[in-house]
Amino acid sequence: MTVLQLERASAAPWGAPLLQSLSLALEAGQVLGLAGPNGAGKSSLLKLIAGDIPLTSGKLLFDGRVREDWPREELARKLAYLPQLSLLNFPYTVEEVIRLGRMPHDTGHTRDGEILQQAMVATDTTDLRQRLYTQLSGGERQRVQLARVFSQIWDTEEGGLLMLDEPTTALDLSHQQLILESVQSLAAKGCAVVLAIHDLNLVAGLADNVAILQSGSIAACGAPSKIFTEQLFREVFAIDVVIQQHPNRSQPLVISR
Amino acid sequence: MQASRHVRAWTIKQAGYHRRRRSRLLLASLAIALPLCILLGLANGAVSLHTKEIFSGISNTLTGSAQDQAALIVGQIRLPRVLLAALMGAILGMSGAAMQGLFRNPLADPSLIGVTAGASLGAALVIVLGGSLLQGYTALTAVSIGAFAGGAVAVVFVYRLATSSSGTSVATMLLAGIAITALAGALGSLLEFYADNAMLRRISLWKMGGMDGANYPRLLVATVVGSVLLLTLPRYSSALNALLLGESEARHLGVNVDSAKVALITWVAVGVGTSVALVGTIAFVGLVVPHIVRMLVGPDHKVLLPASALAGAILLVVADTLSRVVMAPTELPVGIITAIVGVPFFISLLRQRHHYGMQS
Repeated sequence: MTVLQLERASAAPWGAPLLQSLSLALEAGQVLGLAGPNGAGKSSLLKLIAGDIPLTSGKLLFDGRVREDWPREELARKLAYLPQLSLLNFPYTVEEVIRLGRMPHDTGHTRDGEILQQAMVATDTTDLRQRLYTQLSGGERQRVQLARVFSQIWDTEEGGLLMLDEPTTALDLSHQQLILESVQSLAAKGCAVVLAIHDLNLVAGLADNVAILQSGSIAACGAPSKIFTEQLFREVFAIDVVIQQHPNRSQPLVISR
Repeated sequence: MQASRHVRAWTIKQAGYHRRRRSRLLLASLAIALPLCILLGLANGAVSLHTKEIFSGISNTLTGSAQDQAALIVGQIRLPRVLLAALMGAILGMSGAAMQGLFRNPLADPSLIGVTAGASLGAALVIVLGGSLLQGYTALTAVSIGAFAGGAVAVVFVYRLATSSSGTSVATMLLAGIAITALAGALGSLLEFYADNAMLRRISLWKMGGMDGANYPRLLVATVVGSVLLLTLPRYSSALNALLLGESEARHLGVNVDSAKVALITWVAVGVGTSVALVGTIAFVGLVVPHIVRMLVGPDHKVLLPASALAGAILLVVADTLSRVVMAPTELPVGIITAIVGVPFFISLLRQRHHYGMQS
């Protein structure tokens, strides 16, 4: 089942084109990583998919249908999006923030409570439950926001799509690992995932496919082990790297020279 | 170190575990306190009345039977006035809470969208242009209509300035509101410059706000607008809860952000416009009441909106009662009292704001 399909999609919300003629397809249960230098269009692509910036030309299909054909509430039950920055500046408790993720669903207080518990375990936020969001550290806030979007699509059957914009920037190593495992287990349940991420070793271990973006277009797209080459890194990121096989896992390892 | 850890532990405990219980407790105590304050407002004034006289006065007014002095005071003067104060306070409190949520800014105030300044200009315009033609009851009505029209024009103007093809920007709206407020203020000053002494006195008294124009026709207008507003705004409490995360986040949670924005701005403009038209500008209630309630029970609008309405009603009823009692038989403008009563309470809360997790 193709959850998300882009055909020659372009976007130019402020005149100059941000994204040019992108084509992508994402199956249920697949994880797609977006990488590229600053300003390459990773966040813009996520915003385009999420509907925050409009499509100027091309096609964007969810489950074979364009956005306008989906009722707003139904889309909110299938799609969850975590932007890079959170604006929340009001003293909600952590539990109240995560519960907002269940707003589009009418599964009832008890079921929502169960999902809340599981999403908190998946993000290690159980101990923060009664704390005030405004009093948390940056990494803690990021985990709480992750728990919110996880809970939004926790029990969405086939066809869910999770979009994460740099979800691990403020996290320590063990929490990075925990979040990646949680994303993997959501994908294993059939949820498609798109995530923008700078750490290429992290994305190589997680994503089925990686799209490398450069000035608004896709420079390379495919399995990390196939597309990660020293030449690609020279051309796109302008750095010299060594690419080796990970000693324990079947993934490439990018080491700066 | 020990002390700060203690405070932190206290905060954590207070914030989460007790929030739901505190919400219920606050709503219940406000709901009990409001009728008591109304009773207090009916009993006190230039002439003090007993509870028995108040109730017989109310029942005499309702049945239209024998009118003694107490019945006249209660029925004709105090009852419409106290109820008007309660309704205006409720409208201002709930509107303030809704605006602070919509603008995601605890410092937002219902007057931010330009309605108060526009209404003041409209009122001043009627007072100056009408001059000595306007007397007594018609003058009051004409000034009210001028104020409401001025407020409506200002809000429409601010809204149009902030709306482009990509939707309405709340941030632009805030700035446009400040600009229109400044412009209306300048035009108002220009009018005052050309006004004579009698007009100046009327403009400045009107600006201070007061319930002294209360009568049953005005109470009827306030009741209609107030009950629609107080029933409509809470329907947006989920949307407001999600909007605190950000507009884009709210949209992804299935909220129809654009229609919620238009509805909230329209209702707040109607509510505040009506309140300015009926009782003049009363600052402070719309800004500080929701702030205080949020400090006590957190930002959940399902509690915040009704609690702000109740607390606003209580504050204005008490302030109006004080304005009649403190220097009786002279009445003080109620806006002065709301500030004198509310500010010390607000400052004492601000000094312990870290207990409530407020950062701004």
